[in-house]
Amino acid sequence: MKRIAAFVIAGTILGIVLSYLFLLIDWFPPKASEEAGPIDSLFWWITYISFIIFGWVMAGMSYCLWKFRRHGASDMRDGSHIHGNTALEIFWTAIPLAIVLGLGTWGWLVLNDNEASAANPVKVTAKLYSFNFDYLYSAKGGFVPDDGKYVSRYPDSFTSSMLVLPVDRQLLLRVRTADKQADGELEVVHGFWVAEWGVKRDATPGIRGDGEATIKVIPNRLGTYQVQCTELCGSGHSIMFNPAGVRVVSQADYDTWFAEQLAKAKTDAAAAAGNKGLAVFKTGGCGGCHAFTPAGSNGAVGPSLDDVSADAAAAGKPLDAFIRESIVNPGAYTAKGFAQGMPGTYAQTIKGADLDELVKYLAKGGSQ
Amino acid sequence: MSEPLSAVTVQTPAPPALDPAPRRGNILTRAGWWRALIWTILAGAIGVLVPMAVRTAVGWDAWQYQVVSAALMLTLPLGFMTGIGCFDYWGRYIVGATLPEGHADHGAYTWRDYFKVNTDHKVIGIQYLVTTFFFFLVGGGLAEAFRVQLAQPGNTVFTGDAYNGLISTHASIMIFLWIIPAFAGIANFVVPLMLGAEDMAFPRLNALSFWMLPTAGLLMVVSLFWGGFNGGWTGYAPLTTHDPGDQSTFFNMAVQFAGTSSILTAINFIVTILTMRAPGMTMSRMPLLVWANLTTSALVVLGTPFIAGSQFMVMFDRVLHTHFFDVSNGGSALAYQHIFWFYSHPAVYIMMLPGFGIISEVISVMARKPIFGYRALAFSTVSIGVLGFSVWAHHMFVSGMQDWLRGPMMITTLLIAIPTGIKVFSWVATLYEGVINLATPMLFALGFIFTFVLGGLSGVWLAILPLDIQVSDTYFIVAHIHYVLFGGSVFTIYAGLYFWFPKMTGRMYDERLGKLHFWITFISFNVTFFPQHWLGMVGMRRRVADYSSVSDQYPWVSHLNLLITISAFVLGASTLILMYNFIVSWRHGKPAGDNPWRALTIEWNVSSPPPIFNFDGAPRVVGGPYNYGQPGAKHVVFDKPADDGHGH
Repeated sequence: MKRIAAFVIAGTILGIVLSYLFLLIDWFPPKASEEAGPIDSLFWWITYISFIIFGWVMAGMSYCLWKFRRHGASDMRDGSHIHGNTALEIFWTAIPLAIVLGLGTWGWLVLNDNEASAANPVKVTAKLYSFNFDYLYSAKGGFVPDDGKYVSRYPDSFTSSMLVLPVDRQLLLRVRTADKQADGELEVVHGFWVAEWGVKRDATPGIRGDGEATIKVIPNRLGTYQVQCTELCGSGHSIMFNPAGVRVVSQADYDTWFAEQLAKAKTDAAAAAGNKGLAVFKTGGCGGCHAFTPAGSNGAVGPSLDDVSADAAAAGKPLDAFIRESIVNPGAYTAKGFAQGMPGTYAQTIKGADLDELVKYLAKGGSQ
Repeated sequence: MSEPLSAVTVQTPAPPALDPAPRRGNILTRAGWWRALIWTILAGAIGVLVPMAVRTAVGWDAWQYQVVSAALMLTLPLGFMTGIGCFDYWGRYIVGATLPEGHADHGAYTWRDYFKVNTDHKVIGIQYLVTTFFFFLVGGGLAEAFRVQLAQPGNTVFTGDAYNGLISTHASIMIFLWIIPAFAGIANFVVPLMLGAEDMAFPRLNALSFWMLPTAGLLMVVSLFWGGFNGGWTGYAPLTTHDPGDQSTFFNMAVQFAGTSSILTAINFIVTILTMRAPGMTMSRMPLLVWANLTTSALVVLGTPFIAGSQFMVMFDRVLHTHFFDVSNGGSALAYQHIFWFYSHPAVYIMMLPGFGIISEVISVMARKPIFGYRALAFSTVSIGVLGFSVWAHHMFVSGMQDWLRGPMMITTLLIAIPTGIKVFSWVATLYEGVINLATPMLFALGFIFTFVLGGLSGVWLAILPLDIQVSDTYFIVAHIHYVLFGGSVFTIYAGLYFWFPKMTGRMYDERLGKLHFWITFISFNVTFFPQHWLGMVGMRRRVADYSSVSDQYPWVSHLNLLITISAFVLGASTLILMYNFIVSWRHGKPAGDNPWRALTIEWNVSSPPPIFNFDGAPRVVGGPYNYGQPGAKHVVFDKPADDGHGH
């Protein structure tokens, strides 16, 4: 009994030392949401508990290895004839049981707290290989209330390749995958992750983001954050991230940005009405990955289309033919400094007159 | 009805000098490699021509790559297995030309017998181990290749689908062609001996199970020439259902053959263990390795059909345009994940329980002590098996499945820590007051406890929902699975290989090289995989060819990755030490004697290597398997052979 107490104490000390060393560096990125705090303390505690259990095992093992070694190959002794010890076995069944049930309960409470009700929905759409954010806007201004229904298009909604949010307001992110019928996209599973928030959700085809696949988060730290895709989604999975995909700003800055975006969405709509090429550019989602100044897009996943004539020269092809080929068969030429990651699906979704207009629009640098 | 069983039990031990019965027919009609070649070519022709003929008949384009490649991947392996002779006995039985019962295909008299369809469980065990080790080297080579890509941010050695092909093929080969079948190989050799059985219950089925493996493995390896299947070893639909290059078919079909092989072997083990134990071998006298294999086999039989089904559904969606996982036509993408993980979580225990069994054997023998808490260890094995079927959705905590399901899955996952903990504590308690021999198998067993406790604890971590959500699909997961599958399974396979090497070959491996192998493996393993926990926590996703976006923020991410790559090469090189040691010792090692470890279980009470029919006398079990420290304790005695040559 005394010896077991000694093992437990020695192991506990070893575990505390190891945990302390492990936690010297805070391996998690800086916490930037209300949710990340409780996750962090859960992490802190479970690290201590894990290393203490590890310490118990190592203390017992090291003691035995030090004390009960064979004395050379000619040592033919056997060990003690011990088959077990019921009290000890009950002890090491009950203690871990209590620990894991305690941790489980705590984890469940943290989760429930983190996922408490939220309003202010933003629709997160994961595509090959970028994210879009639809701001659902009502005539009264600001976010529409969460009425529990998924609404695909509000009259005055706008889409952004950057998720801009006011600080300290709870958000409901409805994560979904691009829709085959509406967006002409191949549907695959993507994941939406902002490491600093401690939250993550998959965009699984068929799960529309109005019930289960939602993220509730209260960003509480100003700054720019990276958003990454966390499910293998095809050849471009590695490049499906946006280092500046999330910006958390003050309420005043947010209101300004929101008004700008809304106004821009309206002028864009007007411009697109008079410019077929721009309209195709918008509905095709080109700006999600490519920067193109005339269309006001700043995507950085793929090469900038402002430089498309330089790329055509590098590929040694006439401009029109080069652009057309790059859309319908993206693998034919890969711009310097980029890995091939553009989906090969646009041949099905952009064709005929639409394709002609888009090629003309890009070749002429955005003019009609 | 009793035909297959009587084939095993009604047999006289052959005198050692007797050569196998001469084979009839010429080189092209009798089973063997030449006939295998011809049948493979024939089957290839059928696989191409039949679909083309049918398509022509209904007025479609004759050539359709997807259809023909899927048909070929079915017919080629079947043709090969038929040609090599897996179906000869059954085929003739069905048409009434039954072959005489005999031992023509049993036992290895020359090295050539290892390259034939052989019904001896010991030969099959060796065939398994050599084949799976070859695939282990291939899978390891793939890992080194993508570690080169990951050595520095911004590398462009393998990107996009080439990179995805490497990681997917690496994982699939390691799981389906190394860990699962390597355990089947060790068990094939050891378990019938441990039970006092003359062979497995269904020796011909056993041979068929083996020959499915190389074909499954070749499908996976060959896929690399088409860029490799690239949907990850998890093959999530719908990514794999509209894979334009169709490499996914390789994975879909390879899993069918590897899976069928597992199922047949598992049935074989269950029947053997339940019906063919020597007199006196009660359930509570069975060595723990036998308990482990009984439980594992139950998991395989119940679970594997689910992955087989899921892969057929994916292939049908792609090749036949069905809509199992096609959301826009009424399918469900999430369903794939449920079906897949319903096998693939129990698969984790399929890859771990046999290892637990090996560790129990090694630790008890090497510490010269009865295993501590035999009943608790056996019971915990069975309860891990049962609980293993109730935790699959913990792989889907971020998938968007029903929220409520996460609670129960978290609790069951946490509960599995209890029987696992019982095992670890019991092993450590077995050491107490022992006389510990730190030979190589024991070093790997103790190293396993170190790494597996870490892997198990990060598993508890991952069960806690909010933490799991933060780190899932990151390098934390990569670290965790390698701690349980390499630090867990592979360490136990190593322990088992060193432990039974003298029994399998009759010779001793080189102890110094063994220890060297252990220390290099142990250190480089931890250096390779421990830092991956940190990489995942700070934000490095798994399955990415480039991590610049994270290392731009945290420069230490790229330093750690370089360290990991270097260490991964050391880890890979350490495997060569084992290979060298085993190859040289097999030929030139010191004769090991029958029982170099002074163990009590039955396999150590026969010669090394064992006689072709396992026992010269009839084994009768008279005591527990681990009664060390009790003077004169015996587990088995051999009675004089009865007239019919077996003691039942």
